[in-house]
Amino acid sequence: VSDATFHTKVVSGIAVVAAPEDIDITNAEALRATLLHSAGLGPRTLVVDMSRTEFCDTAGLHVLVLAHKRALTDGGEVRLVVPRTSVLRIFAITGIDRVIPMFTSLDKALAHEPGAGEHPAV
Amino acid sequence: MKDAAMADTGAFQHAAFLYRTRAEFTATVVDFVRAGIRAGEAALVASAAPAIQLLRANLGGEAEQVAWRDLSIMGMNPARITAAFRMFVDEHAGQAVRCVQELAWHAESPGVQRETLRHEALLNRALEHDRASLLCAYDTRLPSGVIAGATRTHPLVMRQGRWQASRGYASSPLIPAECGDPLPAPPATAARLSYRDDLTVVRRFAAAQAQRAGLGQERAADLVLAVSEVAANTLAHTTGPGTLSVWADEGEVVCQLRDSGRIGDPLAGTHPPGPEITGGGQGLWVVHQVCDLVEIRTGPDGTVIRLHVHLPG
Repeated sequence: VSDATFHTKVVSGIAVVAAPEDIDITNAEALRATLLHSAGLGPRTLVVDMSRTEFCDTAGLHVLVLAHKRALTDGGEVRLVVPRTSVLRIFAITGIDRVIPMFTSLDKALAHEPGAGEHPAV
Repeated sequence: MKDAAMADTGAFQHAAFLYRTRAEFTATVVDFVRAGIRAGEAALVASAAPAIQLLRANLGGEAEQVAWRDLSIMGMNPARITAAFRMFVDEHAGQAVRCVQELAWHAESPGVQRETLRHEALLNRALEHDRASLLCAYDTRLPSGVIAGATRTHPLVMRQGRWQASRGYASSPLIPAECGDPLPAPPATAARLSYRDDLTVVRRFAAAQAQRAGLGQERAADLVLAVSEVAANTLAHTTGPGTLSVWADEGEVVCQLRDSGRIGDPLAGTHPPGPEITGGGQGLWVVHQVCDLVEIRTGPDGTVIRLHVHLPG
């Protein structure tokens, strides 16, 4: 699985990347490559759909933060879809939940105005 | 003024305050904190809840200007206290900072004692370039070994109202030798797993063992996260396999990860990542945040990291 790239679709002009079940150091590079490719599709804002994701380590966070920073310099942002509370823990510990906008569903992430995340209730 | 020796000098000052009575503790700490607040310094007190209540009551209105860290809530892992000081100093960049701590020296676990001593010693390195004054309170009725440790890890000692340079400090190594005491071998009954490239297997194994030992779902997830971060370091920094051992001990689950790597920075894991998360080092920081105690032995023969998480009840 480690060299697989992840499914990307474009919804209402926004690229949506489906993140894998587990994100760790063995597939973080593949996620980075996918996000970089999706950013090149045109739209400046990128949604990372973590609906299936049950585990994410600091290597995964690192990739997400870099993608968010890159999007910010282009006038966009990364929005995370995180419905599972188990994944929220590492975002809270590292404070990344205050850095990248997070949403409880894909619809909310797509509908939202830039710059204002809807922090899911932990 | 009692705290003249700890006025803001623009440099880090680290003093052991050896007190005989609770009244002496309260009077001296209140004077120390108050003098800092009145000089425009940021103040933080880290202690167990009863001492915080006592100090709050005696500081009156000025208690609201103090950042309180309740160590009974933060838990026993001393590395988290190192990180809390680091964060507080960073949040007050450009401002002198004044801190007080009274650590859990009464803890019975030799591991907690060793890591608490390491925390005291590492503060001399962690804050060496900061405008911070740190007063560490020690009850003189503590075991003599604890008091001796205090004089070896603090450049300044305050006893019966008098400040003195600590003679034991200058001749001591950065980290006291006993902090590197060999860890007792894992029990023969420990569950073992060798890993080289698949972290999913490592996490599944740790989760199953944690559940078997009786950890609740949330703490089990924390332990799995910590194990996975340490195992990821094996993959990132070594070519050989690592070994994970898991066992239940008095009231806790212990996971040990051994590999051929070496950790060069004794402060690894005590620096918070913050929004500037840039890769490298955050893994160990997360590990410290979710474990009740972390013991690290590293050297030319490799690295052993032992993670402790308390069982419920």
